[in-house]
Amino acid sequence: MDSLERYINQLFARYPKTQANLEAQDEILSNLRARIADDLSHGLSEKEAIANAKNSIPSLDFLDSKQRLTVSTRAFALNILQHVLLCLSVAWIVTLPFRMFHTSGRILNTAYLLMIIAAGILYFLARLLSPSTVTRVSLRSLQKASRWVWILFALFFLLDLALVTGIRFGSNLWFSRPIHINGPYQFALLAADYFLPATFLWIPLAVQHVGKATLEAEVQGDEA
Amino acid sequence: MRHKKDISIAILLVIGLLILLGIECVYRPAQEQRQQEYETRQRDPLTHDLSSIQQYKSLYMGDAANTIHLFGNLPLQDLPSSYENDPESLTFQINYNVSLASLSEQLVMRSLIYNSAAAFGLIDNLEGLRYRFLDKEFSVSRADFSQYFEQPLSELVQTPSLWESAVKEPLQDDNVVIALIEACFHKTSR
Repeated sequence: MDSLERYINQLFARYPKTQANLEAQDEILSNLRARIADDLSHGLSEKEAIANAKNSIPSLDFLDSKQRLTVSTRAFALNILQHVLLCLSVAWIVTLPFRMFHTSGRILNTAYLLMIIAAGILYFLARLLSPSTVTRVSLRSLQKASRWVWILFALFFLLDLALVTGIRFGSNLWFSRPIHINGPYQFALLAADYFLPATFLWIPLAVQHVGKATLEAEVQGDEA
Repeated sequence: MRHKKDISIAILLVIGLLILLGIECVYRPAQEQRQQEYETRQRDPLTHDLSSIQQYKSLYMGDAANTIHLFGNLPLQDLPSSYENDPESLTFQINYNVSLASLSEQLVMRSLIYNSAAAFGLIDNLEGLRYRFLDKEFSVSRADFSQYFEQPLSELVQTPSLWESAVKEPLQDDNVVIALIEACFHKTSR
């Protein structure tokens, strides 16, 4: 791989590998090679010709507003719902033991079961969609949304961590009293308070998957 | 790929359902039954678990929350009740919103003795107890009550074996219960 190809790969690195973007990448690379050949024939050195080629494409900002894909609605919906079902099933199973001894754990586990049922119904309804129906999806918006959902989840988790620690151990920390855990049952209750909020990880994982589902359900390239 | 995911989801759901059935149909009913049996035992002085109340040991009857929690974990706990504190005479009063005639007299008499032993043993400065029913009232002082026991009540309540022999076992004999009530408790009708 030469320096020009590396440069173009770097420019396209932040864009999804859609069919249209890959075609645009190949086209730009071949245009730049033609430009280099032309400059060389006019007496420029190889170094100067490559530098000119790179300077002619400083960024790919013109692509930003054009990242909309056409996807099969049915395939898109089925892919997302399937992933959501998978994430929810795992979250449901890992919270099952908490039904035995933790009230909030029991409520959360029941909520996950209801969500699985709802997602399952939507999944079977999505199978009834016509395969020819298409939807336009903005991939950049989805990527931005996914980033924000991860940030919000991280903030939620850190806040919850601080709150649980404050409620459970605030007095111990304030009055410098030793922390006592009187056996496995108390330890399990404490572990549940910390662990249960982490099961909401299924939300950012599901949102992140939407981008991948978009690429898998693409039916034609995006607009230039 | 999607078919493989469908199979994975189906397997996970089946595993989850089996675990759910095990928890809801086997474990939790057994746990609830054990809990109910324990609560039934806690309402009878002859089967009450002493270790459940030792955490309420306190120097002061003025720690009202502690004293109320103590009586909330002693026999007669299931009766509708309210509480009063008399700091002048260091007397704690329990007002039962039921009439004695509607209850098993044997159970109530045993419970009054048991509860008094526990309260005087755990609350250091408690000097008197008053149990007020809608139709009758029983009052007892620490001085009168302690005379019946060879060892201090505070020692008895901290030693399960002594508690069994000195407090619980005598309660099995109705004659002992009647004699103790007559000797130590002051009864008035309302």
